[in-house]
Amino acid sequence: MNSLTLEQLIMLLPELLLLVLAVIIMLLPERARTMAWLVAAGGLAADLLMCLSLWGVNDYIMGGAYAVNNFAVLVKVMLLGLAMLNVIGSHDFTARVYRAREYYALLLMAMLGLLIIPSSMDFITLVVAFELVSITTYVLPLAELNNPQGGEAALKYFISGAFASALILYGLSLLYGFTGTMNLQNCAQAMAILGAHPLLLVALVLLLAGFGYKMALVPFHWWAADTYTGSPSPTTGFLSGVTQKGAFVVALKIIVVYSAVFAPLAALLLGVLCAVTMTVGNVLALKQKDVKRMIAYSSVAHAGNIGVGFAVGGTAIVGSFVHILAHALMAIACFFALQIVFERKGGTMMQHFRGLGKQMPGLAAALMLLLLSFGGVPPLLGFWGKMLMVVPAVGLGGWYLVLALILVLNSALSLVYYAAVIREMYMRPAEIELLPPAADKVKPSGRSYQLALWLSVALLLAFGLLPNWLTEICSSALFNSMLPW
Amino acid sequence: MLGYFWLIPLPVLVTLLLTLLFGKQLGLKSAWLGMCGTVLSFCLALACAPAVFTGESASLSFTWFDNLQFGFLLDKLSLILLLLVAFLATLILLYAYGYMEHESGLLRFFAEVQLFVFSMLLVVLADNLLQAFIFWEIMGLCSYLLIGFWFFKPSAAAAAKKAFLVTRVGDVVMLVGIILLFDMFGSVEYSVMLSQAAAGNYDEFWLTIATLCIFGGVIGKSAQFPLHVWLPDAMEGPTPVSALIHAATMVKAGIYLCARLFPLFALTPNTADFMLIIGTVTALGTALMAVVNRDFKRILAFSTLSQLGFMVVSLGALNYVAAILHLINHAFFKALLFMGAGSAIHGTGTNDIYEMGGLLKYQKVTGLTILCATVSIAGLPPFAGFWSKDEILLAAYLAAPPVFWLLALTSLLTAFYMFRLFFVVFCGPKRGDYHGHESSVPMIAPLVVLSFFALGSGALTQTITVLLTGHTHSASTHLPMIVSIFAVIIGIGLSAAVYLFNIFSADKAAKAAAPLHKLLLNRYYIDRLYEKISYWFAVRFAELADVIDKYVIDGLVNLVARVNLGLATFCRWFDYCVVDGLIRGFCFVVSGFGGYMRRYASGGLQGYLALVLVGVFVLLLVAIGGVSLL
Amino acid sequence: MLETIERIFDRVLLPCLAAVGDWLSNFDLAEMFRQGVYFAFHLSLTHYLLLAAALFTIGLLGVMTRRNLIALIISIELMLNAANINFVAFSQYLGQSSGSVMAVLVLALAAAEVAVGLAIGLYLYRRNGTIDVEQFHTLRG
Repeated sequence: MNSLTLEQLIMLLPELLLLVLAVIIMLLPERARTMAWLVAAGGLAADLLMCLSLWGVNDYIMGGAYAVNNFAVLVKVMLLGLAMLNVIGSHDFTARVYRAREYYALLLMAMLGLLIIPSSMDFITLVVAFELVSITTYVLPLAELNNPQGGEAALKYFISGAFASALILYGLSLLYGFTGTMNLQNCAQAMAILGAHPLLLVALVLLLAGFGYKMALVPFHWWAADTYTGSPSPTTGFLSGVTQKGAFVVALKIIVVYSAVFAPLAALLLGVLCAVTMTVGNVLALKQKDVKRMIAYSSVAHAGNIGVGFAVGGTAIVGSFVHILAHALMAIACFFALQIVFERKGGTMMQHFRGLGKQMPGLAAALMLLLLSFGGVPPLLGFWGKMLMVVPAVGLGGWYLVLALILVLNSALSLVYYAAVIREMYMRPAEIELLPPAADKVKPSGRSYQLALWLSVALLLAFGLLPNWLTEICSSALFNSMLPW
Repeated sequence: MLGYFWLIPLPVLVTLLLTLLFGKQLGLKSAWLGMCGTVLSFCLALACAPAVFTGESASLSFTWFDNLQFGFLLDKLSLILLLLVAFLATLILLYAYGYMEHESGLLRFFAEVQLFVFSMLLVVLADNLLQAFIFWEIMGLCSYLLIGFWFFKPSAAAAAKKAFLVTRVGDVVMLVGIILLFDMFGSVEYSVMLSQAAAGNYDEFWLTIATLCIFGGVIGKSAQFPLHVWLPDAMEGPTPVSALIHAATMVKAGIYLCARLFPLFALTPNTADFMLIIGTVTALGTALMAVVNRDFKRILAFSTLSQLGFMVVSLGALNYVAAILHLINHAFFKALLFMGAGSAIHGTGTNDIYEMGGLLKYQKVTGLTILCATVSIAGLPPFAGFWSKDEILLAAYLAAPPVFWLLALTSLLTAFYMFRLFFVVFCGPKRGDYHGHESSVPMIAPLVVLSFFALGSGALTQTITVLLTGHTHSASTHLPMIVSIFAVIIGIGLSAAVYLFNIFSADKAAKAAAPLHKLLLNRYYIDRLYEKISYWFAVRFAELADVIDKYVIDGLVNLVARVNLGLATFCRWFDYCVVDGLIRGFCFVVSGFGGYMRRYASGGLQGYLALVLVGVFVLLLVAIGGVSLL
Repeated sequence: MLETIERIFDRVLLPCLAAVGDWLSNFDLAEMFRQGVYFAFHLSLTHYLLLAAALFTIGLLGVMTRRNLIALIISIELMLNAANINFVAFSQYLGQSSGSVMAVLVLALAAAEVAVGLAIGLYLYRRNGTIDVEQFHTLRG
């Protein structure tokens, strides 16, 4: 590997900054919760700006293992922005957890891994970054020590994750042995020369299964509903809104590697997985009485939606990215909203939502917008991603048409349970009184939740009303740098 | 500076939001907040002026979706309007600070006024018809809200409803026009449409229809015959609102839009002729009504209608510069007149001019400023109104002499009724019992400022003509000017003879022409006609429906009843067994599937891992099967 | 549909049958024995791969069946080590270093994972008094 020059180090500054910030946060005094929050949010904002300034750079460093191009910058900026939203909202949450410093430091380390993922051009970097994200987030469900279900959530998350990483590494070792290289581009070239081989397929299936676990695609999604339900809501927002989205980038990279030889087959596999995921996720969400668990299952279904774009390929990938952003915003905002409901009404079951429209009109309105966006109702961003995936799929015809049809049917099906929550909020009288907003030092008023919630809703509305800008940036970043390497 | 021209409406939006946030605490002081916004907008527009007036123009547009654009356009025409609107809005807000002193609901009032001004600024700045239409509609909404500001008064609520519904008729027609234009030119951007039309890419017949439809919208908004009925009733709103609607914003939007699309109208002579006729009818008809009315603000409303008629005539005579000139002058003196009217009504507590009388003693400043506006609107040389009216008369004379003579008569009437107003209210003996006093400084100050403009804005005639057309305008004939001067002098003389010196008795004249007088007082019965017509239509339609119901449908029903019965039985069976079965079956399958799947989410960790493993094997089978089949 | 069935027969079932038939007709016990001895005494890449596969399967079974969290973590370690053996063997076979680099990194990853896993186990033990994974099934449905 080549040595690094100073100019190349500048491209790594966002990553290095995160590392330094995480260390700084751990060095802060234990009581300095707001300070830790400020450092984390401010650091992420500074990082976002640094990444933005790299827009337009096109370079490979570290012997071709690390690429800085528009695709990487787009993904980094997207994930950093989402993480910043989550951190901003977490202030009131960390004000009463035992170890606020560790919480923020772990988030920043996870972000470090997520920043490396889109840039890595090498399986070694990719896997190490992915594992960094996984290992740092395993303990996040435990952030709230007195949460009775946190331990179980963390246990399931950890065991499933470790199991998945074992699958990934075994699959990767087979791939390495067959192609003789760890570099993504060389790997694709080697595959093109060597042709299709069952061993490659085994590797593909193992990799898809391993990363599919993090994406929460269906036969690998079991942990997701339990962990999302058992974790405190701000953490769930981070898991489903940020780290889950990183796995999609990894999946996209692997599909691109495989597309040289297995283009229709990899697409078929992913398409089948996604169709099953959407259907099962929605059907399971339909039966839930706990809204948090319902949204967890709907996250699973949405993972299927996003994957449809990857399966269809071409311009539909833009739709996938729009939907990644849309779902991440919706998930983060929605879990903050659920946290508010949890703190003010004592739970997130259906009956806690009864009469919410009268009791907390602002929150109910925001939640309604979010649920409609989840369901893909037109003026909101949730609609555009789906539309951008469905249109190219219909254009391609064949089994893609069936896939598009399944997506549309599932959207309609999902509206049933979203509408049920809206009905509970607006059509039913309240049964449970509001708890007073406890604004003491131990339990702050939840303003930061509101801030993050409304920021996300505003972004959803803004992007939903002016989708052109977003899709143009996505398509320029994707088609100028990712696909032809 | 020109690059940032899109910032011009922004201050108003910002202060609107601030008003919404802090209006409760600020109360009356929101007026100052609003003024900050309009003054800033004015300054921004002023900063753009040097570049624009030397011939540059700026535009900025984004793709909204497909080929619909969202954009702003700043050129000489729009800049003149922007300056005018921002300036008048500032004065009106200052006036409202004095006028609304003892009112409640100030937050609502100031927020709505600012939204009104903001949407007017955006109508002016829009670079396409659709965007203009959107803000045009928001303006309609604001007018509804503001006219109905005292919504607890039934008359105000009715007036607001009337204004909203009547303008809506025009707006629907206009939307049809916009769609036609979009269909014809493939875009609603002004520049694209005008260049396409100039290149001859249009069908004359359809373009005529489209321009007629656009003009239909203008008829609604700028209150031309036959949709003029809403404007006199709009007096139910607070006086600053009247000033805003009449002088600065709403009714001027229609004229502005026509001027913007002027080349299209120039290509369709039939539409232009139609505009001539409508304008003349409005100008003369409403001037006659103004002669007999006794309500201070209503007389002013009729005069607004009449003056708008002048502008439309000028547009129909294909001289849009004259229309814009008159628009500017009219904005100044009509704002002044309304604010003065508000001041007078504030002082006397009545709207009836025959209950005022001799007010000049108590309200010197108001009286004198109103006198300034009166001489200006009457068209007495060398004051502002004279110059623009002269231009319009000249244009009308060149286009159609009969129209010119009718307009000359109208300008005689204008001078007559305006001086009647002045003489009756401010001169003569004190008729009503009021304790006249001068209004507060915030109400007086805008009057004084405006009186200078009302008198002197004629000096801008040449400048603006040069700006808009590029060359000075020289009259080919002086006949119209001479006629108009004579008409004005006769009008003033008559008015003075009747109302100042009492040489003739107005009552006798009214008795002599009793039917005409009654007709005019009742506004030609048009309002009542509309009521009757809509009532008649509703009743006839109901009767028709009844007849159809009784004979046609019942007959049919009886005829097919038997068939239906048989069919119904079948349908019932089909419904219960097949359709319901399908739906219930689907629900059953979905929820059954859900319940089944839930069993697998048993909570046991190793069960999950086993299922993952099963998933991996299934995927492997699918993959290997796929490879050997594909 | 018919075509698909035909393809399944043509490309999957019939070749399998043919292979089985070939193998049966060419069956030679002595030759097989000779090959077996050769295989047992000459180490090659295949041996390492088989060892790795065996380790992986053992780990897999351990994860499925053991109920103690520590045993579960050890089983996962076995699976990771199977991957490691693969990496090192391929690296040696291909004469490259990147596989060995990966193996070192996997060791580090495994250590980190164990640390986190044990921490979670400690927490669970303090709170619930057990690290039997079967006991944790309150989140379900």
